[in-house]
Amino acid sequence: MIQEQLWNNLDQWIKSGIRDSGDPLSKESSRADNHTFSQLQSILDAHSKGFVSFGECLLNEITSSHSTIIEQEFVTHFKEYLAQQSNSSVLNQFQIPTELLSLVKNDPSVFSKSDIFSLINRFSEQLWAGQKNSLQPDFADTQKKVTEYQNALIEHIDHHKAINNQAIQALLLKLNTDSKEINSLQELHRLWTESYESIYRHSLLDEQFQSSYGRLSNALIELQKQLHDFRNQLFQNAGLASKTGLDSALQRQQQFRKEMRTTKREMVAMKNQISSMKLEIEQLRSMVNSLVEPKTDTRKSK
Amino acid sequence: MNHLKIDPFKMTRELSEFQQRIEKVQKVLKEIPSVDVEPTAYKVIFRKDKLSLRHYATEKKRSSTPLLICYALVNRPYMLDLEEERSFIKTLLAHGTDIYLIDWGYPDDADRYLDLDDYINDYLDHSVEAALNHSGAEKINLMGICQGGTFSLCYTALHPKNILNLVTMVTPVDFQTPDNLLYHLSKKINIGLAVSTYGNIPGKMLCNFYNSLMPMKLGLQKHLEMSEQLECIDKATSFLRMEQWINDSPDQAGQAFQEFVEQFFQQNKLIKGEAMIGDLRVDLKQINHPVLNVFGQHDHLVPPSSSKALKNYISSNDYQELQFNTGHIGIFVSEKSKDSVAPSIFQWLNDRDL
Repeated sequence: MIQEQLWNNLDQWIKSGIRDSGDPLSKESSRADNHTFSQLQSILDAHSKGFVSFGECLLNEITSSHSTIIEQEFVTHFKEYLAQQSNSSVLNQFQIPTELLSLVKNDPSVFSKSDIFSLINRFSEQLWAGQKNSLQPDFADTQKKVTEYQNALIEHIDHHKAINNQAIQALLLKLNTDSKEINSLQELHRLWTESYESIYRHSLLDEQFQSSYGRLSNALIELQKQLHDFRNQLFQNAGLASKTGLDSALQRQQQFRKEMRTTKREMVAMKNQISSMKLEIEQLRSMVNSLVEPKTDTRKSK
Repeated sequence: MNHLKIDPFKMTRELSEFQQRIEKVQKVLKEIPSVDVEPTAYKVIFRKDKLSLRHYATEKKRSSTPLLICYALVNRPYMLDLEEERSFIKTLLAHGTDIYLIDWGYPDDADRYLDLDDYINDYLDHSVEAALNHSGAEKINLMGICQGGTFSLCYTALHPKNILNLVTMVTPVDFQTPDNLLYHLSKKINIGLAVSTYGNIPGKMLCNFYNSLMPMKLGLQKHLEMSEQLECIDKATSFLRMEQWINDSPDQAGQAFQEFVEQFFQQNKLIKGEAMIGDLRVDLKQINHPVLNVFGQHDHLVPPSSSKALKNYISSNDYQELQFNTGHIGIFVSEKSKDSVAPSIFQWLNDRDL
């Protein structure tokens, strides 16, 4: 019964791992294939929708205020648009591990409750159903890791908010001082991208931004590691080969490989040494012969 | 906002045209079933594990020393032969040099513990040997690209007798120059933790990391402007080839990745003379060969300052730099590449041929 439950858990885990094609662990996803086009289409679709909706907001603003854009309104629209774009960029890069994400997808209400711990509990209940307590890992540690991930994410998004604000100010400055007129939405967008990238590049050189980026990256990796450890534990409990076992086999294989390479090198060196010794012996032999031969010749001549 | 002069009528038209273009793009994309890359014929002359060594034969040989290209582990080498009209390899062949190209392949779980010693002292060394045996030449011209350039520097310093001339392209040497964004963004990341978590580092993760150097320009802005590139089939196919290459990012063998990031990026050991490849220490002063150092003025991944540092650390009396008005990729695929980058490299090599 327990065994059956375990198999179900493993099956569910594996399914959750492959459900999302964006999972960095999915080896094939990094290779270019036919999905590229459809991915491209969906990216294009999402970005163009955002762009059009921003344009429409701005258009409404212009028409309602009789052809003049009020700076405050403009800034508000742009901020909304930007927050949406940069948040989705950050969330996309630092996406919560697929195994947890799949739970959120199955039951979005878990997220709306803003109770990340209920998500963890639910996760652990699903994975360790029917298992002895002694075989279960310590979920308090997972909760700490999720909290750290959340805090790091919030801190990093705050950095992006600051970058967005500065980018808008830089854009406004350009709109007020640059000699070039902006006549289209596309030109405006380009000018904003320039302003944004210039501020962003400056932020990349800032120690605090680097720390925040590192913190979030490490928090996400820690969380992912924890989930991998759980999977290993599950595999071990089920009597299956785990990643840890595979890893040590690979490590040993690599060690043999190196030893074999060293042995080959030594063999080649020895072969060369033997060849040169053979040559030396040949030379010595011919020298000896040449020393011996003249005596014989002398006797003959006598 | 004195200079914001958007006319509502024009803006309505712009938005409607944009939407029409997007619809057109959807149709064009449906008409392209797949894209083909690597139009130039080659023969694989050597294989070891995942590595394969390709030979591209020139029809009019003008130089007696063949060229071995060592590409980076990141992304795939077909960027050098993306399509007929912008093929770096084709241009070099047309000038009259035989080319050997290392394709590192796609590492998988079995390659988790491959280290820099394996890549440089084993795979690269065997590739040099195979190219020498196949060509019958006594020495080889080695060209390293990006991380492959760093590998080539290490190799030449450790095995100087096999190399006649060395060409480094968009190659990081000083990894900690003030404008090196990759260094700044990676310095707080715990690489050991990443490798112990993932084993091999997923290629997709690296793509995200590179994109985060210019998130809006390489993300939002590029995607909004790509509708212009995708309106007709020819242009769209060309654009999609590049997209395919960008997204074709192999996973990185964990151990080698960790050694590279820690020794080169985080500790800058190459220029300190402390980098270790296996049990061999890399001393760049051992490089007294003719060296051509080629880089792009607008390279945001490997800034010119990082490449230009090379001249301070080698002992070559014949060192030359070539800077082009391009970025990291444009140096290989732009019109400028066809007209001046590849011809200049060939000329430099030919002037130093045996």
